[in-house]
Amino acid sequence: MSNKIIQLGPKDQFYLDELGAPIISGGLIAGILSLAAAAGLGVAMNDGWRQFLFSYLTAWLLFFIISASALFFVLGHHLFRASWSVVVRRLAEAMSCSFIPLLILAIPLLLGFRKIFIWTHYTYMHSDPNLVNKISYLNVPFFMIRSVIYFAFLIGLSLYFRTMSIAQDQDHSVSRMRQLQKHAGWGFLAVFWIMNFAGADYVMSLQPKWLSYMEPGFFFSGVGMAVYAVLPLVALWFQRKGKLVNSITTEHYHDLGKWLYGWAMFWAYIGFAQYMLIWYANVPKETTFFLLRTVGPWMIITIALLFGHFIVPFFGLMSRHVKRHKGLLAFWCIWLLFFGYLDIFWQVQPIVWINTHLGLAAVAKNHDPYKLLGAVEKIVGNPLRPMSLVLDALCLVGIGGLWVAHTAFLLRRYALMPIGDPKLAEALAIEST
Amino acid sequence: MSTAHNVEPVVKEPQKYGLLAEFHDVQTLLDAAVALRKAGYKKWDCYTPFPVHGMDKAMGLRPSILPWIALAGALGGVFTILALAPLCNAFLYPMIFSGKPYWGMPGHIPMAFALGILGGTVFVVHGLFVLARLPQFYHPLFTAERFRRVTDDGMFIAVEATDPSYSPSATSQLLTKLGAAAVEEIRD
Repeated sequence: MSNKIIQLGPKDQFYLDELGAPIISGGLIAGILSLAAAAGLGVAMNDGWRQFLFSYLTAWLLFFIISASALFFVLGHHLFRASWSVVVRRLAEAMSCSFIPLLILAIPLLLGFRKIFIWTHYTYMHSDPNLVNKISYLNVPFFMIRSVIYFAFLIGLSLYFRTMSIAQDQDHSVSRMRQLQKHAGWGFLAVFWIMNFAGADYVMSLQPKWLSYMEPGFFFSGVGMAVYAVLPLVALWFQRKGKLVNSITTEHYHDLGKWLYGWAMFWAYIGFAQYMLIWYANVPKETTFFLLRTVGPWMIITIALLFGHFIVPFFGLMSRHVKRHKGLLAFWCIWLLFFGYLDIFWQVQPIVWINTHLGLAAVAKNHDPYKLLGAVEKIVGNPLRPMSLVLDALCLVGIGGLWVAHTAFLLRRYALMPIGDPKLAEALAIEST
Repeated sequence: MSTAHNVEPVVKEPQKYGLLAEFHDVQTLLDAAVALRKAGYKKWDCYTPFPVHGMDKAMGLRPSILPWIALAGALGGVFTILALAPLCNAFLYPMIFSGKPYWGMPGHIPMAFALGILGGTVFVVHGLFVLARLPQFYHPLFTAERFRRVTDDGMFIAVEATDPSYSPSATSQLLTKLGAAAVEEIRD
């Protein structure tokens, strides 16, 4: 094995230095204060604890998705032997290593497990033959075993890929790159399947009677997109602060923008495919999903998603001139990140809305689609409670702050770019067409 | 018509097409393109066996209108189906398919998607042929022996005689100064 040292191209600021401490402390303070406020509000509010759990789950899922998305990006980079993505890979590596803190942050979800997942209730699961058949899959021990497997693989892969990349900073080893490329194949497939199953477990099982083979893929389309909305924002912010100024160029932003656009359209493709199949077959156990989401306040969010996640960016982000304009690209990243969050919100929160207004027992009794329609019609006029939106925002800032602090903590000691990567010279000189 | 048989067959005088300059490496070609653009030449082009990154900028080429043609084709395809399918299914020949409404929009979207792609690709391919003036079976540059290497390893700049700044001697000197390995005059 020959290890070649490749000269680094431009002179640049590769270390976080003085930026590290304020981000870490700011993130920690904002995170802890927001989560404490959210928990306090949850206790004080009428039926607030259930709302807190669902708001928390929504925010937790957003950062779970971003982290998995970053891991998928790193694995894809090695699998396809890409070179352009080297310049932003270290940032993605740091984001992908967030699964241990996410596991710790999942403790409140475990405490409120029976309030979130209705399938944990014995009487409910025995109220319908369809559900009885699902008990062999939807039961607490098996759910926990699956989650442990997901997290074991996600943590293992992310740590392995980051550790090897950091070791490469010193020895510039080509053999390390080959080794990562070798493991990227199975890792890529593993993360793909893990996130599909996670979508079924953490989102689809909120409505246990609902059945859709498209939903895991729909969840995954969000996983694909998230990192491409976050990476340009982080890179642009670092460049404003004088880091990596000569390394990340318009060409790299253009490529990131193309992926962002592609995944946003993939979301629309899968989302519509799911809608159309359910609309066409018109089977009650499938239509419950859209039944809940086309009434009251949820219809507005459904339409907002259609326009905000598909039609408006379809035209807005289409042109190469937009993707190559830093300000416009940043605008679309924030836009799609917001609609990515709204997408999770739309998948998760109708459950708590109906639970709050009807009560869990009534929901269980009325879970038959025909009865559900009658029950929902009674509460169509009920809006989203403003306080629930405050809880959503607090949980988002809370988990987001801790996530940002942890990512900055990982970035602080090492170079912000894989400065030992054999493909770095090629990556710096890339021209996007 | 009566005098037709008296007319001598006219042999066309060879027209001057312009100058062909050969270059041996990409960087010289790029620098020469920048210099020609700055010297104010308008009717000239570069010929290479492979795409050269940065050439658009060096030559000062404006973005092509091809993307707009593709967009028009794609939107044309989408709206054709979104109009045609309800026209047939809901108005001209109302028919019930699997208990869906006559105007069942979700069922029309896959067709609209497919025709959108078809329209986009058909327009982009035909638009490319029109914009690139293809097919073109003859070009004055084909008369030059050395131009045959343009599909292998030859890199060329051709300046047309119709360019306002063109002068056989001055342009030739400029090209030589810019690093051309050889400059020859092309006659059509």
